[in-house]
Amino acid sequence: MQNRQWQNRLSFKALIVLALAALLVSACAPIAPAADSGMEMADEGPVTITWAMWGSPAEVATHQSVADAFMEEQDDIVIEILAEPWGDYFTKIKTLWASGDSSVVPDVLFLSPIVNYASEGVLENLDPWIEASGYNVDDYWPSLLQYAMYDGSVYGFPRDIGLEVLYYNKDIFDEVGVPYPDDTWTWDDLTAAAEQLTVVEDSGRVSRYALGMEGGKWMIWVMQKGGMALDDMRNPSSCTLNEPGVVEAVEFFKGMIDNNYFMPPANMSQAGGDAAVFQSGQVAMIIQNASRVSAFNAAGMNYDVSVIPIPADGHRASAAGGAAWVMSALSDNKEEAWTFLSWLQSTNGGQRIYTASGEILPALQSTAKSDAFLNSGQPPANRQAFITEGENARMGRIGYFVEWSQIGGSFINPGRDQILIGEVGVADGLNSICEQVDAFLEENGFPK
Amino acid sequence: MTTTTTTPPTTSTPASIRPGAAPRPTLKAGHLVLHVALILGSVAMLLPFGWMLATSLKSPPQIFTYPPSLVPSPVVWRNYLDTVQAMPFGRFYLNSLFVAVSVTSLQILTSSLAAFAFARLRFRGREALFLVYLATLMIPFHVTMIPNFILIRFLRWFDTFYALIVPTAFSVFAVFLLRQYFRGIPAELDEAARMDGASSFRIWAQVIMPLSGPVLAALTIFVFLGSWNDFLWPLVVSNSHATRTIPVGLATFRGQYNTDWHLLMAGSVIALLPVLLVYVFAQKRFVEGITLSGMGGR
Repeated sequence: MQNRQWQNRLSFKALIVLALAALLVSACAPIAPAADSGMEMADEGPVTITWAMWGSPAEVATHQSVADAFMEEQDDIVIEILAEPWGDYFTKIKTLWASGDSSVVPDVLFLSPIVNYASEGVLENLDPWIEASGYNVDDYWPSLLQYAMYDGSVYGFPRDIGLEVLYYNKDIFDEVGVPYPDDTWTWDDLTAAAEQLTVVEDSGRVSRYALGMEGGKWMIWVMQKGGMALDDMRNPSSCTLNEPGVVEAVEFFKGMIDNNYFMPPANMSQAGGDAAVFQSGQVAMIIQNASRVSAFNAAGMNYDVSVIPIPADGHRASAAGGAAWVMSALSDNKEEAWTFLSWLQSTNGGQRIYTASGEILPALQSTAKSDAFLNSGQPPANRQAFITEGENARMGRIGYFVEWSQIGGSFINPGRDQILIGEVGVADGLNSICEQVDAFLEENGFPK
Repeated sequence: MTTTTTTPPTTSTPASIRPGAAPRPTLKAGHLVLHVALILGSVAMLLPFGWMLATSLKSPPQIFTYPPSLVPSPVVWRNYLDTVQAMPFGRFYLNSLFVAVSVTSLQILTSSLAAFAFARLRFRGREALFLVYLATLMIPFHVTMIPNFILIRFLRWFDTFYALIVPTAFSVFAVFLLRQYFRGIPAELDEAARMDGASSFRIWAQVIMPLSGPVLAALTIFVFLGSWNDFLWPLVVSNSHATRTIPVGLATFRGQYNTDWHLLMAGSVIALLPVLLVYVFAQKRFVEGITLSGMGGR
């Protein structure tokens, strides 16, 4: 009797295990062949190009509409999208490349920074393709293509140019009675307006700062004064952050923070970032790239943009840089990948669709100066500010060599933060950054 | 056991005495302090959940206002709809459930069998083998990720459920936990079963497993939680929507420049539900499991 019960329970358990196993096998089965179908189709009919990028669901929807538009124009190439979350995207792509298996590595990818990948040899050199097809590289903003070059060759096409403009909240300006910023504004005008826009409560808490900006963008001020981080951003021999112009620029920035005009970057990131503090009215102006436009429009904000104010003895200096589309050196279908890539980066192709989505300032000047960007019918009204900054784009915000990330991450950024929170004086702090950077450069055999 | 009787009852209460069995419940100052501390503690634990729930019902400008507010006004129910529509959420949800349930059942099956062998069967090199197996706990996942990936490609399992389930169907930690527990079960029980002619497999199925309820319940929660929240491996081996899991889907709300906090939190609330359900229904067993496995109560 007891034994029978045991047997029943045993067979019941065995049944559960069997059922689970069956469930597993049956659920996996339909997926497995589907994953390989792309390879089988390569022999006949259209070629499948895998196209990888990062993005939020809304951005991925834009990418999908670009792929759909391309597939509508021709029948030979099918585009398959591989979208991953920002940040983790790079982990995944590196793993795929590490496997060395061309069937899993995407053919066309979104990447940044380009030099780190190009130096590993995983990217296709685009020079021969550009030459053979006569693709017009002069349409890019000045210096922008430099961002995707390595060892004198082009390895990618930046999709957009991530240069910054000054966003301002018109409601706050009207309320305080300060005139809107314009092309003539200098640092002195900015400081004068900031004094009126800032609101400090009796308790000492600042309930509204005039200006907010991510700490990493401090090089804007430095470059406007003619300063640079290194004497040569491609092959440096020394740090130039201790030059007088740089010291003045950092003193200006530090003074803005000390006077409560400028929201300390650490506080801003804690409060949710520049878009959040701008939308909630905790700052009256921010300095940021075009990526904010769609969010501010969706929120129905009353805002506009202007060029970034410059010092009286300085010049405009926007950063020429942006994530780029590249081709994998492992691709089995380079011919088709190039066809797609060059279509993607043309005014009548992908550039127009991205621009119309309102998410970017396009990399091609002809697209930026077309109605798709200038007369989209959407705020901000003063889109000319982006064009003015674009025409003044120059290299210098980042270094175009592999060790740059180490120099920035280990010496420049921590040193900058120490200066901004007042742990060291401006001149001393910059000197100490340069000592460390020079030692690093010498140790690593620069200039090469 | 003898130590519990010698210690004064005020500092330690044996788990076997239920609150109802106490002679006369008296209100002491100590209790008050204890309860105040516990209430503060639970508020601290609940606040993040409350914040998540509140954020999931706010519009983006509401999220970072100062002073912060726990009450969304107006309440934006639309966030939930937007989240579900932003991606094939239902599909991801089913995938996650399928993977987590499969991994949990398989891992309990494989590790209880292995733990049984290490705890009960006698064979040469058993202790050495166990030690070597245990030592693999020291190898971080990231070291084996690329070799594992190449293996998955070799087996043609890329972007299939096999890749998501099979590598995580075995666990050193689970074997270790179960082995320690099995060793605490009196050997007389399996000896008696063996005298009755039971095979090793039957002893595992009908003597050891039925006596291991609490530890198995605890392990179920650990494994289910781990599998439900697993991010990096599913990200690497899944490409298509057909095999995507919830954590990978939710991560897309964190962009390069913007994070859709309201959607991210709404998605997180939905993703939390099964875990919460598993916990609520297995809570008693879970707490027992922690005490019995020697991992808590110290």
